[in-house]
Amino acid sequence: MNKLHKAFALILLAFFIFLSQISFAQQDLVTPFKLWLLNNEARMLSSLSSDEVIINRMSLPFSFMPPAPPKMGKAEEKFWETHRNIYTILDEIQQTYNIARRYGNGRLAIIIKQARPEVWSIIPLQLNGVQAAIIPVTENRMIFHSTLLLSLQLQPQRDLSLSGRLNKAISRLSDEENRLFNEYMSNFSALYPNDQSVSAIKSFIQTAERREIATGLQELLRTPFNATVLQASFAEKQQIDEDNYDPLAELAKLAELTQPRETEENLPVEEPEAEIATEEEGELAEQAPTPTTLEPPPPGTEDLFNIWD
Amino acid sequence: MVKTATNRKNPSPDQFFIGTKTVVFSVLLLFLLTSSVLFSQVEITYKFKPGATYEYEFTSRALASASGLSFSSSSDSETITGKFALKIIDFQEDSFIVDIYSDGVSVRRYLRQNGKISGAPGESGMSAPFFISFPSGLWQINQLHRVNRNFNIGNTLIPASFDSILRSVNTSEQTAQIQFQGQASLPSDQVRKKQFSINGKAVYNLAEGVLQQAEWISDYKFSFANKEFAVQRNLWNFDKSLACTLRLVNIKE
Repeated sequence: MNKLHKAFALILLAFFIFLSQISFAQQDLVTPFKLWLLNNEARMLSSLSSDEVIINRMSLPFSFMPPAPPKMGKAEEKFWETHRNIYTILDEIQQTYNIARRYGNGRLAIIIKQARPEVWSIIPLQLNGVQAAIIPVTENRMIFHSTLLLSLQLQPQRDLSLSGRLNKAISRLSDEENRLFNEYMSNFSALYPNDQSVSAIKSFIQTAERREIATGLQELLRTPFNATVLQASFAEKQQIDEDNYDPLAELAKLAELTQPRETEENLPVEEPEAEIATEEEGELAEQAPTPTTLEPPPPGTEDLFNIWD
Repeated sequence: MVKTATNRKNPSPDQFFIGTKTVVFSVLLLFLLTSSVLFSQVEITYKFKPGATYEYEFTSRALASASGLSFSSSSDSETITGKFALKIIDFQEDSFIVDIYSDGVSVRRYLRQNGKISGAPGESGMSAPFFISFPSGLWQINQLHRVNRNFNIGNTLIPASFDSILRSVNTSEQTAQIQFQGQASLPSDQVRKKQFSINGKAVYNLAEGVLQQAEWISDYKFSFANKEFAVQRNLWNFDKSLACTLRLVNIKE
């Protein structure tokens, strides 16, 4: 039995690893372009460095001069700075793309709403008598929602508009840097026409510029309650309870809560004629004294409430 | 014929004057030719005086530009001025023992008279710089003198050379002008094209036996491209230059 369990666990583990690999491979958008740029940078840096060694050894051609040669200019520093900005943008594009791809269709939000895991997740706690289980349902839902977003690495303020997030990131590049970024992507496409990742990056950016992407994510990010109001009400309630705790008043309050309320929704829908009759009867009822006992039904009719005979 | 013979024996005053002038011109021409031959070749060697201190002023200015596709940047450093001093300790075994003081740091070198170094105790052999040296003996004007050296970078052998030419000698100012050019064959291929050269000139003081003044510019160009099958795209271009000047400020004996 143990062997069977182990084999099953191994198969399950392999299956999850396989799934994770597939999901990562599918979501890899910027890596080929990023590696291409990094590789070119490395080759160029290596060349510059080795050439500088030779140049330094020939820059002071007379043997009576001190050995420390003057430093050559470093105009390439601006390139590295621009490339660092481009890498930041690429990371932002990848993160945005991942979020949009995973949660953009809104299915997770629907599943969470339908399954209500925040309710059944505390059942084991209740069964074991853990004190935390007495948290009110509303607060529990809030905690569950914030924990869920944290575990998914989502931030409502940042990710509510993915198009806005992406456009904001790209706007950090200057016009010149943006032009260079586009030219790099064009070069990459020309050199590696079979690699479609850069085309995907371009179309993703263009789509985000035109319209809002991954609108299904907004439903997931929306808080189940207004957090600040809820927290304030909880705090207020706790303060009142601590200051003047009156069990009788609470009982009365509970009695009020348990009484059925006649709201407009609960009232039966009647015909207009019946409404007039009801109004007339109401006027008569105000004038007549309230009956203390129930009157027997008229002869010849069946008493509907007599269930014992 | 008799008349002619008589004329040869007893030349007229005009003929005598013409003959004397020819001799004088010939002597002058011979003197000029001799002097030009004598002054068209000089010995250029360092003749430092032991115990003396030579103070030099050195300036450098670096210019650099980088461009890639439509992106470009440039940097231009301010002229940096520094001083260094040579304290000649002694002359032993055909070498000057020299302490070079610069920015509070001193380095000892053993300099040959032709400019080569025979030893540098404070510097490792691998990182030893490559210097210009002068020909031994007399150096004729417009005579090319070449010095070669190979640098080892990893497994790559990089040949480098310095060419120097004596351009002119000024006897009145006791100076000789030397032009020099250096180059190194930096490793290049289809995607990496490099070029490096140094061009400059120096003024040698014949009376003191030292370099009085020099200026040179080193230029480095590097273009980097990407190539995949038939597609080649240029990516980055780098141009760097370093302009340096050297001037003898003072000699303390």
